Amino acid sequence: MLLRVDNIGFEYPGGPEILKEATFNADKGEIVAIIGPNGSGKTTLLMVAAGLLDPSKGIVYVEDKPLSEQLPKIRSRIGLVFQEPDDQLFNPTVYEELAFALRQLLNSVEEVDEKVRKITKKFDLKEIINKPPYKLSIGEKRIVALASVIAYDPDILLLDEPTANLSSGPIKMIEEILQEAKKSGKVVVIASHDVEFVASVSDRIYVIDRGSIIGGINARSILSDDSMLTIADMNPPLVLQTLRELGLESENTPMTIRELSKKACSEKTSKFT
Amino acid sequence: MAETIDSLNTEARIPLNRPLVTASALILTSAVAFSHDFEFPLLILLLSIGIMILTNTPFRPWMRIITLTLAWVILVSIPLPFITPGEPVMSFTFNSMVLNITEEGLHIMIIFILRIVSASSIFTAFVLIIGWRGIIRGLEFFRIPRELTLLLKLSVIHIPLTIREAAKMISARDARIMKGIGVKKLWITLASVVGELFLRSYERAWRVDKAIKARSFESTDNFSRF
Ligand SMILES: Nc1ncnc2c1ncn2[C@@H]1O[C@H](COP(=O)(O)OP(=O)(O)OP(=O)(O)O)[C@@H](O)[C@H]1O
Ligand SMILES: [Mg+2]
Repeated sequence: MLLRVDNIGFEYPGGPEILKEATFNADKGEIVAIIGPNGSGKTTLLMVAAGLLDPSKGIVYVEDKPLSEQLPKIRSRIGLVFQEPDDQLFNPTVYEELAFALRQLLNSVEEVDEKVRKITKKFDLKEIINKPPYKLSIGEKRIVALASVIAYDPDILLLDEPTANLSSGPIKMIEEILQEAKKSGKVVVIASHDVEFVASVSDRIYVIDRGSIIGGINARSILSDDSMLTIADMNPPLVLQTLRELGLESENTPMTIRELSKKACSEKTSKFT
Repeated sequence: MAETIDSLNTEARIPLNRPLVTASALILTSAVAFSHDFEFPLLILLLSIGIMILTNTPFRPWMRIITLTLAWVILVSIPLPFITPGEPVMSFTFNSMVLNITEEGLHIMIIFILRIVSASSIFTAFVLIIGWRGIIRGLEFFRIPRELTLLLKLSVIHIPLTIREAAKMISARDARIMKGIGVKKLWITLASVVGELFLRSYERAWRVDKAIKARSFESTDNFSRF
């Protein structure tokens, strides 16, 4: 297990216990989703997992060694994309934002510039590269925030509501980037309310339930389990809802348009053969 | 306004000895701010223009900041000639109230304006030359507590954001005001916005501090609980 969050408790000063016995793990080449209603502690959990908040109990392990013992160096292997891009972006320009981490890791200005250029191209940021981040639209900010993390190529990617405020083009781009990260053996953890996005990218899903974490089994089982979705305050994916209405739910009911069309295609061809 | 502050939010343009420049900036700024005569502030004003020419620093951001300072300082010093006792040079009658402008008052006002403008001028010149971050790093050299320098750093990064936030909050409140609003109500609104803004800035500074930590791989300071 590359990332293991073990029995974490956390409360903000003077506040109630937000996390009680939160345990989850994620392995290389896996996309794990954490779902839960507003205010259930998803953001807090990701901050703890990134080593930015110190839990009141429990330990976060990275490769079986406590995270706290590996700070601050380990931070170059962890990338957290904040829920609020305004909280994350603190450099005077988008360029500086992308270069900030690279300057600490690479040896020459040329290398940094080269890498920034690559990322600029990949995320299509050329038009805004010299703008100050606070002058961007929310969606643009969100993409810059993601790009500034992908830039230094961390092994563990923690994404807090990555699809909020994005139109479908950028959402598709994020899906591709996550699939790419998965293929190259990275750990990806997303906290999200976007059921369609969760259905299309995640391998396993955890549900935060009153400070504890339940579930952790494959995405399909969680998303078709009404009691889990009720706890997370989510509706089932649209495709599943529709098939249910039509009385077509079965063992392997498709969850996304992609799965549905794949299934439809294969059924068509099997009829002809 | 936000743009003017943006121009300060820069990295050093010229490699110079940061602690030395920071120290001279601080010493000259405070010397001129507490001076009592005409000549010294004038000298400093000329000096700041001189060093900007010598270091080939663009004048526009400096001009903007000086103009802003001048406008502000004139505004706050308007009562001075009226309230300082002395030989009247002019007098107005206003609703049976006699207002005198005194020679002493004018003198104080002019020195006050000159002092503030040249203090701001020399400091701005230094900031433009070595960058605001340069000043902060210079301060770090003098073992000014980290929290203080961090606060300065964050506030400069966030002044444009804070201004926007204030504008947003005021318009959000305006949007909910249905009828005409009296001066007193307006004042209450503004005061509550300022209080709220302070809290929000604090909250934001806390989060941005986390964001900086998240991407700082070499810093030796341990992660804080909150
Ligand atoms: N800085 C803070 N100080 C005090 N309490 C906080 C702070 N940040 C969050 N909380 C509280 O902690 C709880 C969990 O917040 P958190 O942001 O982790 O929830 P979340 O699951 O991410 O919610 P959302 O889906 O709305 O993003 C909330 O009840 C919130 O009020
Ligand atoms: Mg959250």
